[in-house]
Amino acid sequence: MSRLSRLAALALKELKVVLLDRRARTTLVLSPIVQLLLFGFATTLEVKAIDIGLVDRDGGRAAQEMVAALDGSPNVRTLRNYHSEAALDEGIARREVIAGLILPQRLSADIAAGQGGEVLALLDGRRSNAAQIVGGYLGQIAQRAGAELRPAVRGPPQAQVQTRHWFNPNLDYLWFTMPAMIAVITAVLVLSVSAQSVAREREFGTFDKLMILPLRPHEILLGKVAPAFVVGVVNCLIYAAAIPLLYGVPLTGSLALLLLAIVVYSMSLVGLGLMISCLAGNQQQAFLGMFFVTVPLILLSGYASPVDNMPAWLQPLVAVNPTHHMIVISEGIFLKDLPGDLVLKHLLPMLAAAVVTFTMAWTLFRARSE
Amino acid sequence: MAGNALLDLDGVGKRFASPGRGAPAMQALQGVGFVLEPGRIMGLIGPDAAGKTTLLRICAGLVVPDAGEVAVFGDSVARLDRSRIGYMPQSGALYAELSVLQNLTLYARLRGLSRELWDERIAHLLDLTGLAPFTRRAAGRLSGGMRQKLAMACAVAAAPPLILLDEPSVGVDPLSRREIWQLARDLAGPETGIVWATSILDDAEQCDDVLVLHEGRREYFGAPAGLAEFAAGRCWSTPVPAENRRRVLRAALEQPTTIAGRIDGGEVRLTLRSVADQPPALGEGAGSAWRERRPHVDDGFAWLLDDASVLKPSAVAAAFPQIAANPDAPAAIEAIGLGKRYGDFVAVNDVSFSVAPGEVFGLLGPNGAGKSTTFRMLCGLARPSAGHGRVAGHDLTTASAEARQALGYMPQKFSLYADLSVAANLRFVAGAYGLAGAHAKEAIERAVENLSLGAFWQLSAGTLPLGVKQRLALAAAVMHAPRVLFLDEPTSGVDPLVRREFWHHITAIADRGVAVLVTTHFMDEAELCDRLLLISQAEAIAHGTPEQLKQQALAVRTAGATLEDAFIALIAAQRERIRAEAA
Repeated sequence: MSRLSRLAALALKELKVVLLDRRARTTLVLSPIVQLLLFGFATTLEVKAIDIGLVDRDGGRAAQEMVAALDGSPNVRTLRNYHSEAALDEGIARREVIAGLILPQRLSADIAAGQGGEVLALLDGRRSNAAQIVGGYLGQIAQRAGAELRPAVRGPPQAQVQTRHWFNPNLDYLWFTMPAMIAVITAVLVLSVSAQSVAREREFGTFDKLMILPLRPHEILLGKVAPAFVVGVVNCLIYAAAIPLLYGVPLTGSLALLLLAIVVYSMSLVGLGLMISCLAGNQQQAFLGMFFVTVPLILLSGYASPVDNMPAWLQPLVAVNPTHHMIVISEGIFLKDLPGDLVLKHLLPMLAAAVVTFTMAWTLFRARSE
Repeated sequence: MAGNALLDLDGVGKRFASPGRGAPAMQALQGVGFVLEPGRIMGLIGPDAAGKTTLLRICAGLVVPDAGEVAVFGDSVARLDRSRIGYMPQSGALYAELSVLQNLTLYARLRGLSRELWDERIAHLLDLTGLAPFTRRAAGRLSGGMRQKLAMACAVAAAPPLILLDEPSVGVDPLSRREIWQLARDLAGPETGIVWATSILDDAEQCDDVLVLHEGRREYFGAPAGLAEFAAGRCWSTPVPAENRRRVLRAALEQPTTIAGRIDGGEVRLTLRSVADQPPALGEGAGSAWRERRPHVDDGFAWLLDDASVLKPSAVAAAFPQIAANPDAPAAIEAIGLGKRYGDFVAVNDVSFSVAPGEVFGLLGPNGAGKSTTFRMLCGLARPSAGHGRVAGHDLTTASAEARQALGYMPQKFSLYADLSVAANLRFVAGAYGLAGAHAKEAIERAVENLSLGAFWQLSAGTLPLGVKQRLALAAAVMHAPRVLFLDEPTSGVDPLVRREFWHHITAIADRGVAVLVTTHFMDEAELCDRLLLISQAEAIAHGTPEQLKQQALAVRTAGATLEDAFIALIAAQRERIRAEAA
């Protein structure tokens, strides 16, 4: 009982210390909102206002369907007709268009005969990211018309175009980025709060006073969990409300499950942050340490680049990366009402990470408490 | 005025805007003036927040006054060439990660010393400071005394004709303080002027002139002897047996006729408000009659700054349960063969002593000689490499949390949370000691009441004046009425008025049966201890009452009569012994 009240006093103090620090407060309140807006509007992976070239040698029904679909797409700005493949090449080289479609003579006939048609797509390899995405669009449109897309790249010959897969029907990238943002922003905020906690005590000379109080190392560390936890959960709630409202991404799954996952996820991050904090001699070192950890955490999460494309030796790192699991859970709960057992499958690795990082933080704290 | 004066200030005033959060605007200085002639040392003395630092910064051209005239080297401060001033700020302004040599080189460059003079000047500075063997050591890893010497050397790297030193002797042991004074004299040329800001009155006696500042006003300017003269006919002393000294002193300080008092070589010494006043009647067992004494600088200072307040019996102490005196009671603090190594470096070697309930035990020693490490091992902040420590019967290694529950701790630097309010800080500490609900509320209210913290209840701790911070730190240390009190240079950097009040509480708490372990560099505080342990170069070199230490010092060499003389003599004797053994 008495030990619980000690813990409560400690947690309350930690919360106040963070919330009364004006700089910390600004970071915690403002940065998630700014990030939400910035990431939402600026780093969208969607390609809009694209210019497409067309060499139509078919002119049949399938061709008309595709032209209509391209014309009607909100993402296509202009549709230019070229008289030959060479002219289209020239157009891509001069950046008149980012991609071109070559509809072969027998396209409509083949589709009508049920053999399936083949459309050649030329993509500007110099703008590989955008071109990949455009390639994806074109593939979808061709498919709807009953044809198959055969991509080819113009530009630097090394550049490769890979077919990519999308899981949301309107090719709306916000659906992908926004739920993942919860995991990324929580990582940044929780880590920054927890990485500062012990280092701040050292820097401000309060560490000795803290160590002389009849508190045990694990109690001190648990007390330090409180602010990071509040930050994690409050952010999750803000995002869970803002994402459907601002960006129209549906929250199809259970909010309770999402919160549970955030709690476990925050635990694993706090452990990591405390490890950094125990090692750091001052807040500056803690800040640098936090950067050292945050970047790989996000890069190896599948947020920015697909996990499947990473080399095999990196895959085990992804498997133990709590951010990766949180992204899977968050996207799953938002977009496809991920069932509980699948959530659990990704929850357990995070829980394991939390146990490991906490134990290490505890060991470090004890070793460096002199 | 004087044509060649280094500093000539007249009617200087400075007001600072409110730092925010309900704190009022502050009139830091008002109508202050003085003249500093070449070749003189001026002491700038006064309690905390008297305006010492602001005045120094105005002289250095770093702060622009609102009112008055400031002339430096006979010209307006606005046209000052700053490379001609050696200003040492309070924190010393050293780069902790850079080595001794790198710091010196950097400052030689920053202060515009021409390249061809560097090597010679730096060699000279290293020689004077005695830092030559440590040129490659990082400044942050020097002991307190060495750090201050280096900071001073950096400030005067370009041999400026005017040296401004902001508390160069704060937190430094008596030996280092003497060395720092010597260094300042060595560094100064015959025409150099020095301004030495301090709240330590021993420093004031060394100066040619002293300027006493109080709440931004000049209270006195002139020779130190003139300051002492204020207390003429008001100083009295009487020999008192050791066991009664603190009690007699405390009773005298609670009289409305007494301004200040201390224990001085087996005697209780008082400064009275009026020449007409008589010292209080001596009770039973309190020795012979009072005799009038020659006043010292600190007596005059106490009289000058007297605010007519009378110390009340310590309510903080009254909140402690009285532990009956019992000669068979087990020791409250025990050090048994304590040792600490960091790699090859022996910080503490085989130190043993014990402190009984109700005893005040002082740890003395030069900076960086093992005193702090011993202290930290005994309160559980450092793990001993050899031996063990016990507090209130709990072993520090096996029952650390229990031992820590039984002790109260007050560190050298303010170590509560600056952003939190007084209320939040006290609630946290109460909670950490396991006080909850009504118990916590009661303990906090009592501490706030007893230490007059009520007016500051909602203010952030970081914005409090130093004296209030000191009271808050004491409140946080004694809220759970511990059996053992650990005080680590608790009055470092604190002015004499605050120190007097603080020790009034501490000696009263000890009389309730609480064991007190204290480290200090102030010899008047050491005189208040029942027993002392002198630690130097990792070894305990002397152990006993203040009188016994003086006797031991007299046995090894002819020393003066004061505890400070004994301190220095005992350390010098140890150094000679080590040198003889090495030879």
